[in-house]
Amino acid sequence: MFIVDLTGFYSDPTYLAAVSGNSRLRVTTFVLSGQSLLFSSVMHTGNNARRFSSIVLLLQILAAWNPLSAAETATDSDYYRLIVATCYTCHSAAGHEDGAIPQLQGLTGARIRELLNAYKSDAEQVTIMNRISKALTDAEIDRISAILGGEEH
Amino acid sequence: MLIASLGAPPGKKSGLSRRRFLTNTLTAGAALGGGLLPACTRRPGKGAPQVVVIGGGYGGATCARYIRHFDPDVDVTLVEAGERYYTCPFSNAVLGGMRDAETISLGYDDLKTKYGVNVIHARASAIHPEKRVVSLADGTTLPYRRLVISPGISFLWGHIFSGYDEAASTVMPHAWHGGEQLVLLQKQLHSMRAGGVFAIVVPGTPFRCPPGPYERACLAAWYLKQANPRAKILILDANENFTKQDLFEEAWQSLYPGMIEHVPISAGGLIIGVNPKRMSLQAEAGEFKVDVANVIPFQQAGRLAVDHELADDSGWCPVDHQTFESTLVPGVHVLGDSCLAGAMPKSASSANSQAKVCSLAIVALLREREPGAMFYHNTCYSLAAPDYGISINAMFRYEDNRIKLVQRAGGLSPLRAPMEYRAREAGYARSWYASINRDSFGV
Repeated sequence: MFIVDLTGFYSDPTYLAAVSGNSRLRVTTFVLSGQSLLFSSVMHTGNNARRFSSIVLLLQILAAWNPLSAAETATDSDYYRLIVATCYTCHSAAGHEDGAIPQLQGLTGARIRELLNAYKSDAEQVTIMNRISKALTDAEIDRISAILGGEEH
Repeated sequence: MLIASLGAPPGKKSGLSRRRFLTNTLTAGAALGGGLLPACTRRPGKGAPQVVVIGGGYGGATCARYIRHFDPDVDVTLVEAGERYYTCPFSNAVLGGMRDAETISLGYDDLKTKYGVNVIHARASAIHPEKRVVSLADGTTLPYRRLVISPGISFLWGHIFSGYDEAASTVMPHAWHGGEQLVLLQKQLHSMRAGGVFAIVVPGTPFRCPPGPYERACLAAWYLKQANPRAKILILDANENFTKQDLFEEAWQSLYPGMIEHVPISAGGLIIGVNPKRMSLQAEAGEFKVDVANVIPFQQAGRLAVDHELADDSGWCPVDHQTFESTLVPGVHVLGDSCLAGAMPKSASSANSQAKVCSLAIVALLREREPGAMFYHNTCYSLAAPDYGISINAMFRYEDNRIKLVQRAGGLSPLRAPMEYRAREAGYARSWYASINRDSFGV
């Protein structure tokens, strides 16, 4: 799934066209393929070479090449406060009942992890959560589940 | 990117690097919480950093709330002229008679009482970025360390189509801000003669709520199908294609066959003039005499942003994608419809997400910490009928100094889905609306 992040290079105009309606493209999915990790990593480092010092460049190369480096970034707790806050855009906060979207309150971390993984793999077909969960790395799913399940603060 | 101008509080030399992988840590001991933390009404002490937020829509309200959430020791003042905010989401449900206009308005009491936000109902008259002060219409001044503006959109009256101004909008409503205009259009639609024509004039992109005009056609059709079944809906479009197009067209065919006609720009759908006296629309394809006209003007960033040179030649505001700080005016962050946020559409959901990212960045910058990795999200539901919902969504990350779409995620509701799927998404649309209002306004 890190490859997803790295290979998605500059295809945003496709999405822009889809949301703005300004293109003749009729986009029904955003699935793009054919860009290799190798290619995008080279692009990635090439981009940054102009901007950062050589030490930074080295780190960036590692970040581009090694998925674990990306995962380390994702352990930052500020970042998880943001992601968890993002869940609450649609899922009601504790103590409120706002209709059909399931509440997260009361679910264990293990159950949330199980659900997110099932949505991500399409083992369980729902609606929008199949599309959202695919944006999350396995490490992110673990961490979000633990936080939402109250196992980690 | 102008690194030197970004992110530094006054008096601090900017040495902040922008590298997201060198993120630093959160406020010591700050809890993440299994849900949102209990609201913090604690007043920040004397000398607390001051943030002023101008504009109480989804962007501004969410930002005020979440700065207090992420760091209760920051003093936040929200400046908003109106006492009630009329939402763009679900305004088409009002038009279709599914909801009452007052049920889509929100107030600011919860932000005050539950989240300790100072709310001032006044019009901001001027920003003085060099002094870091905002002036209000009554002469009051508010100093700030960081200023956030979320001023929505403003109309380019007379742009492309002549004859349309504020006076004309009382005859041919735009109904794009909710409130009186929406109620006016609803009355016109509901009293239209039998077999009349309801026209929707769609401006060129970008505009607020890209699926809005097409959802409007659906919910107007839903109303007319029952009350005025021989009526027609004409969409005169300055664009060729539009968001969720296949899904909308599928719904038009299955729910309202023969009722809705879409005229794209290639078929002469571009309007070049309007005449409210004759109730006519001059399109490239010819003149259309209509019974009710909903004319949505071309748009640019909100007035406050344009007047303070926060917008570029495009009419919208360029910002740093990690902090939403203007790349033109240091210390001023621009959120929501007004800002240029890559491929994020101009929606309530985008504004809510951008506000959370901006809040987190501001809290870091005020503590002279470097903002870190960021995650952004947009989900837009549209209703084709009360029990027929469709959606589009996307997630983004901050990478290579910009907001970048996460590939192989997000997307649209499937075509030819069973009605059960459509009904489920309609339920989610209503639930989403209740929840985003709670999240943004602290209800």
